[in-house]
Amino acid sequence: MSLKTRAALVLLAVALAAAACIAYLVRGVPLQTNLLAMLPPTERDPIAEQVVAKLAGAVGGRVVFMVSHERAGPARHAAEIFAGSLQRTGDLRAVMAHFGTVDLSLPARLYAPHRFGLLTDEDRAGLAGSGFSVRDAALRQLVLPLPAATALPLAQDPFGFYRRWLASREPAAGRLRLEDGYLAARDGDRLRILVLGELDGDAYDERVQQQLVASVERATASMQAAEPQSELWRAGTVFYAATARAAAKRDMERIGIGATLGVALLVLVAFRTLRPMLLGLLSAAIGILFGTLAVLVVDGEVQLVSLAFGASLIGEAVDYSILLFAAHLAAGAVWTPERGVAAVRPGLTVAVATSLLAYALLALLPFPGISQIARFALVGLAASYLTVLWLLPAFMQRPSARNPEMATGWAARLLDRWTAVLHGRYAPIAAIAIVAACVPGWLSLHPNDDVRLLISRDPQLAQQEAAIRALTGLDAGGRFFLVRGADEEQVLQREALLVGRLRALEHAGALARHQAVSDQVPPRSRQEEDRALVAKRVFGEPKTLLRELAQIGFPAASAKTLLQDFDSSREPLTVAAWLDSPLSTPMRHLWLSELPASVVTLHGERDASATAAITAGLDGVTLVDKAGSVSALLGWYRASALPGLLIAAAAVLLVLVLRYRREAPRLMLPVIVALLLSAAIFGYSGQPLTVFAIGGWLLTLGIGVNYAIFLREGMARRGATAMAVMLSGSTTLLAWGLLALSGVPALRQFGLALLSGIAGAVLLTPLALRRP
Amino acid sequence: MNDFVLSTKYLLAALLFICAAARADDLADRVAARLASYPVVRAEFVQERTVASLTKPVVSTGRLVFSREGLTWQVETPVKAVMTFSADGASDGGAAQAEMGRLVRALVAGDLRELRQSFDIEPRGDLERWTLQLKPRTLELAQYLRGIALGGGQHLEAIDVVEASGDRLKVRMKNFVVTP
Repeated sequence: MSLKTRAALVLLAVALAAAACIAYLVRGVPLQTNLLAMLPPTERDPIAEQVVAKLAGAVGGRVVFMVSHERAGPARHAAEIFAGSLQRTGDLRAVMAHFGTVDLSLPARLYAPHRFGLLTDEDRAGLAGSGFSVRDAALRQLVLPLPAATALPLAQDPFGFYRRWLASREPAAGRLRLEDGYLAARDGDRLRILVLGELDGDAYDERVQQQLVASVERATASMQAAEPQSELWRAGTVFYAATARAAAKRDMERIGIGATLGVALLVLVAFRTLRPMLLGLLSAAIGILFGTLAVLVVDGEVQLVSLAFGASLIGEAVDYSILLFAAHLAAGAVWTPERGVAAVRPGLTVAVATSLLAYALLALLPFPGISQIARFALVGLAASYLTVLWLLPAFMQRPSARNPEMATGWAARLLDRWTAVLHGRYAPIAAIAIVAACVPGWLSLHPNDDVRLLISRDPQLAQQEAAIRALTGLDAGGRFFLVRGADEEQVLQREALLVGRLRALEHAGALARHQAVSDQVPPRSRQEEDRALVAKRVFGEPKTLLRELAQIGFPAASAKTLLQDFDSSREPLTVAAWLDSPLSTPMRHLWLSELPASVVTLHGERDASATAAITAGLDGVTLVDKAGSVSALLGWYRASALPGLLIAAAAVLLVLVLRYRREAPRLMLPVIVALLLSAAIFGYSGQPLTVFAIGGWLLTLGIGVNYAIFLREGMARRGATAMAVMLSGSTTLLAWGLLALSGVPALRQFGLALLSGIAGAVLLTPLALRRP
Repeated sequence: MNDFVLSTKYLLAALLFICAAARADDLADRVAARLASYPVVRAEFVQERTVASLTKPVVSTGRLVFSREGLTWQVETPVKAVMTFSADGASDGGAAQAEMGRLVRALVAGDLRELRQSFDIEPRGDLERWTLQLKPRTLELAQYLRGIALGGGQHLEAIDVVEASGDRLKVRMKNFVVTP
């Protein structure tokens, strides 16, 4: 096949790939910004995973605003204008500023018919004890300076059992209070009013995010136009996701633009023309095109992180072209494309083989996101490699007009001098000193597997969210209990046992509060026991009861009605009745009737180990801790990534041995030393040891060993090769190293590992050469 | 010493004269400041509750302790009962008790801003003989409370609560003892 036919074939393939890519992109870029979606399922229990997803959906769709003003009237006005403006956009399924007044008859309608089976723990203990007297219990309702009847008319609840039970299950809503239908809290000099919204769509959907953020801005503007002193706080997953997306885009642009400009500048300086740069970018662009296509075909959606890495791929793909251009420069007048390709092919092939091997190992990790990055890189780099061998030569028919000696002599001299230094008489002493200096760094390396490494949190949003949590008490953590049983009754019984232990924790201050269905609907057995207790202690002797009530002042008719009410209230309260009442709306997601199972959410956990310990001896109760599981998973990968790094090094060594025999270990020396130095830098700078840093080192291994290979293969044209290595190293540093500036801790770690590792590998490359 | 008391009295009178021209709200502020100035106050009380659904009022007596920690309400007759409204907001009852607790806390701490969030306060009289008429500002409170009247001089001597249902609670306090 002639050079031109090959080039034509490559161009045809590129055109086809571009068409396919466009066909995908026309349907909209399915860009996934939820970094947790990078992770594999963590729960061994599929039901727990399902519940996590369902709860995340219920919580993720919630948006909370607090509108504030110094005075109540304007604060309400501002909240109304804000909510109204937001409502009109239709981005939210529901926006609520005014909650209406509480319908006091609702609880009575649901609970009052079953009230004789509903007792607080204290009343149950009081009734069971010997000190209970009907007269005293009824009088105590009247002698305390409280409104007598808020839940039910006094005659229907003369002992206050029902009133106290109802009060015990009222959620403590932080400092929020209903004021004329507005949920408001006084906070210093300002009155803050809660506005709740529910998202219409996925919080991680870019369109949903953009529309909502724009609408909130417009609503804020009209609110402040009407009430200039008003302020807005916001909280909700969607805002975090939107700022994370914006930050990732900024990262991508910064890395993309920074890498492109930097590489252009370096190429211009080295080659005095931008032609190699443009052809290099062409080769990189073709790599990115095929990488993206592969990911779209295999995964159907593109992870945000893959895209960020994809932008960095420019750096490595350009390396390959640089090698070809260096050969072009070095050949001078005797250049032919065929001879040039023949000169670079061996080194390039070994280099690509080691890189692909490193990425292939990365692809084996069961992280959907990381294996996507690996797929992207494998396909992209292979495409770039083929482009350099088959397409680029077609554009490089003419030999270089520059004198090879003049153009590359400086690099050859630099290489010689640096090689002399590295192989100098004092080099071994310096090496020993450096190793000694590294030891404390290695010793201070400490692991970190926190799930928050994956998340870039906007500090302003985090501050507003913390303030909203403090005022509203809406501080559900990520942990919850899943309670399962054979039927509704068993779930409720098991849950009630759990709730008893949770109350003890709340009393001890380890937990602020919890939410559980069994607080709203006690198990049937508990209701029956409580009713039996009431029957015995209160209604056991009807004549005494009627006499005592009459003495206090209850008319005979009302006392008799009470007895009739008691007699006719044999049916316990059921979950179904509760679900039917509007009262259950905020808690319905806690009941999973299809399993059956229930969820007990935890609020304001202060002692995680105490919460975890209380499940001991409870049947059917699991503590689900998605964040904890993810952290454990990250830790597991970190622990297995270190041996993985050794295996990868062994694999690279094997490839090298195939070609270089006994010289192979020497070729690996620079990158190995660079990795050890990088590890020491992590230790000294207090950076934790994470799976992402080790991933960065894995890539450093693959890329770094290339430089030694290039140099070893290109000794015939030393200057050109040294220039190529320096250029390659610089472009890679520009591309990957810029990740060290990312807002996402994980990417930052990755970037820092590459930055330090690659810099070391380039500087130490002459160690791969034999002593001159 | 007498001179001192006398001159202080004149001074107070002069001040009162000046203050009479100021907003009536100032009386409420000064009453609150006075009530909050006593570290611990002990008193006896008589409470009479009139409920439409009962054929006769329920009268109870007991003792109370106001302190910066809150209010302890100790009923002696016709049944022994104790209820504490603590100043840090902890109360074991529902909305009504929480509201009552807030009212008590606000009085104990002289925090009228807290009270004014929930009530319109209409002061009458002077610092020696005052009444504060509290009307609920929010619909939620008005659902079960029509109004509260507080009255007294050196101390809070009378509380009259009218519930939305028309039921009444009348509390009279006497024999005040202030301990530092």
